[in-house]
Amino acid sequence: MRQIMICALTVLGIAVLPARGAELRGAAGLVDITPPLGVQLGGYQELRADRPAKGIRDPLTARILVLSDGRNTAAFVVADLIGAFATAEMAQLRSEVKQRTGIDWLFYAVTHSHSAPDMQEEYPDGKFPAWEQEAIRKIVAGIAEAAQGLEPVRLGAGWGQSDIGHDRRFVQADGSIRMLWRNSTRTVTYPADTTVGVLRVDNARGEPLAILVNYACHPVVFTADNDFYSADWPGAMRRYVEKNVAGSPICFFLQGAAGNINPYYDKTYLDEDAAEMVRQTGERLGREVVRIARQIQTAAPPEPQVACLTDTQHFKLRWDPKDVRKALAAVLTPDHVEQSMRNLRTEFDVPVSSCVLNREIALSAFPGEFFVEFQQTLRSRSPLRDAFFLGYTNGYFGYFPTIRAAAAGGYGAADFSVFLEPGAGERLVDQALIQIYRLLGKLKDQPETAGD
Amino acid sequence: MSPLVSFPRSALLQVLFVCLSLPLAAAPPAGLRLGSARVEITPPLGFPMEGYESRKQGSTGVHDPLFARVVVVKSAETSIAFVACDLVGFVSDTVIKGAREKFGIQHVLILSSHTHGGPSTSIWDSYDVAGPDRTWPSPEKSWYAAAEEKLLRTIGEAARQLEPVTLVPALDFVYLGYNRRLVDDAGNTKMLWRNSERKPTHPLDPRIGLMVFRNAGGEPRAVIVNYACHAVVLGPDNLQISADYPGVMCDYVEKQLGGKAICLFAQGAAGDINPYDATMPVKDGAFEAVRKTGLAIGEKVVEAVRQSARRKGGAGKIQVTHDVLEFPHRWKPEKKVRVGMDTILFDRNLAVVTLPGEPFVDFQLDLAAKSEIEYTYLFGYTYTGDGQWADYIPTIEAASQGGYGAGYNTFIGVGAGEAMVDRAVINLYQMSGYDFRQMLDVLVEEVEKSH
Repeated sequence: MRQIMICALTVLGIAVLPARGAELRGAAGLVDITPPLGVQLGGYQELRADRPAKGIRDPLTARILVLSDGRNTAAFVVADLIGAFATAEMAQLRSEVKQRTGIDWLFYAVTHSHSAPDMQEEYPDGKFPAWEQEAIRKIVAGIAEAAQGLEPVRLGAGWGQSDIGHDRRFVQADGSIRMLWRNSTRTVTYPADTTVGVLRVDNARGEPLAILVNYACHPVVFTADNDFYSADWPGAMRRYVEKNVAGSPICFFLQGAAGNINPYYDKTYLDEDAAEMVRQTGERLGREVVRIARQIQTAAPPEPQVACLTDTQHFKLRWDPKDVRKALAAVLTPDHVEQSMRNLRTEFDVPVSSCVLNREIALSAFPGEFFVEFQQTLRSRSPLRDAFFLGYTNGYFGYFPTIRAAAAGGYGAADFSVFLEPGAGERLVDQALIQIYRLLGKLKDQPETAGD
Repeated sequence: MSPLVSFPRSALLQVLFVCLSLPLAAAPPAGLRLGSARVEITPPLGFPMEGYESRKQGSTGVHDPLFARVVVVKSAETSIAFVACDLVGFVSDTVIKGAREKFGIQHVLILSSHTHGGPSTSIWDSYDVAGPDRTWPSPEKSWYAAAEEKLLRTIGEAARQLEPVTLVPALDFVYLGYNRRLVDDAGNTKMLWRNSERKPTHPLDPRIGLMVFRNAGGEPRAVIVNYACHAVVLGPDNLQISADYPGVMCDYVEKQLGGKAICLFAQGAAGDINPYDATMPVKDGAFEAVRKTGLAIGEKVVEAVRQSARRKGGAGKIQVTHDVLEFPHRWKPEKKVRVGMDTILFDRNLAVVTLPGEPFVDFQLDLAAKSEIEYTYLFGYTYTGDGQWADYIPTIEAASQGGYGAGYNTFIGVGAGEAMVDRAVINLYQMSGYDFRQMLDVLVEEVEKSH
């Protein structure tokens, strides 16, 4: 309902109007959301079902950037978690942020670390874990704090290349797909996207407050034998960037369309020096980020503006529920199967949102694991050079393979990690493009008068 | 190869041949059968013409008569009528329903060449027209109703004289059209209504997509020519009924192929494509330009048809998916726009996708890029039932840039064309045997392997 209202407002042009004489203000912050020890780690249930956290390798954080043009304010949150909060908690987070700060636009992203706690849509005892509620409380407080410390900021974006991952769906000579989970010898795969996007947020003196890094690659260098909380390689990347960019910026990792992209050192066991591989992978990307960040020139924007839109699109379940039951039975206990089947949805309303900053920089948010082709498509079709693809943002609706990949198969393309009918990803990317055009005032709601 | 191997191999082949030929002789005719016919549909003098808002006067003469050319193709599985009209656009559920009920034709494609030298068919929703005018010249005997009756009768005629054929796809290319929307770096659009100097433009698709049907003797019996270019060599000053360049092309091809083959023009995604010599004034030699344009494509077609003689047709399997899709109205989002589209797969190497309106050329490029079928054609301006005419179908990008066909004279929601192309791509995978609902246990298999 809230989203519908916002849509209605934007249809009237209210959210799209530039705030005249305004300035762009912003603030960045960080909260530690590491749960207590003993919570089950997520992501590798099929390898090791019981994996309670026994320690902290590096803390799990939620990083917060608030940007405001005086009229519209958007909060970007990136949490070192494997997935979104449950639907009810996402609604709770939004409403608490709105209540506490008045902020309408929340972009809640996760890095998809597999060394973070397991998260469920529903828990057997009917309650959400205390750590989740605590994390939400901290995130809301963090946003509120940032919103109170806004200062004039300027933005700049830059792009580069780094090669730390591969397409784990390896196409064979006959067109079939073999999963190439780890690729430590770096066989060339296709498609992969080596593009690194960097958004730098400076204060009025030109000192970086935040460095946002957009790149597509699963954070799965640590595997099921790791019992310690960790942000995986994005943590190493951020530490490197924060150390090597002057000032003391907070570095954010905005996970891209990583649905088919693994790090070369996928699922590395501790005996294989996983911690070192995490560091090497993160720092390899970090070095390129530092190079890009140093080159970015920021300036006071000629048209300071935060403009956002959100829509939902309706899709159907791709599968016959009978097949879903069969698939679940292969990996879950009978009780768990019954519970999952009770919760099985056959229709989905999927949100897609975009934010255009200063009429120059677009960030579009997609709630799931999109295949990397989608970020390439979004970027190449975007009217703005600086178009960031935020995967794993504002909820979770499984994997989004391209139509072609859905036909060819492989993990994330033709198994139960996919929920939605083929073509869903294509429609959502199209909708994000429409949003960007609308936010730029290039798609009007009424026709101009007939010309020739 | 050693003689020791070759003897049993050839013996085996003979056995196979005998086995295969026995059931073939007994079964109902496999492969394709085709019949064709054509009918004149020229409207009476004085009939309002369509295509240019500035032209208010009715027709004063007939330069060349208008035809509907019909090809009926039947396979073991289904039947299709291609009904190619020398008209600006034509919508008729009467024809589609009638063909099914009277002649058992499962799928009817009413193709329009989009000539602007023909009668008004008043199907353009963008201009708030009430729908086809069934009152001219009189409500009892309107041209529109008469045309519907003729189309139906001609489908029946074609369906009654089927002969076995094989289908060979072929491609050639010719640069006859240009993109009439000039977009600058800032995304502003200027229209270029004529381009006699042949200034380069983009995007363009110069491909001529051909479907060549040959009888058992190898003679061409029907050629369907898919090319994206507005049939607007004739301009608003012309009051003579004419099929414009597609008419010249079809006549030429039919004549060159010995008079026994019928040639149908299937307009492509020409929503933004004009012929170089567009809207030529009659006094400046418009009809000569029509002839030249028609011959330029006709000569390519004839050559490509001749070259295709060496190639063998497929088994003649036809699959058709008919979709009815709903999109929001672009300007009144609460209103829905329903469109019918067909995706047709011949064997596994030729695909035809139809859209009921004027898609921009990017869509046929995108479809061909995404489709894994070797020959994939987009027929625009094609009505296949269960929906309405969609008028112009611009890309999202073009809609943001505006210009003719991307702004006020569109009404289907932005993004509809992209969704229709993707629907066709999904259909083509499914018709090729990919089952999107077949769930694979990828992870389970992988995990089992890793233990």
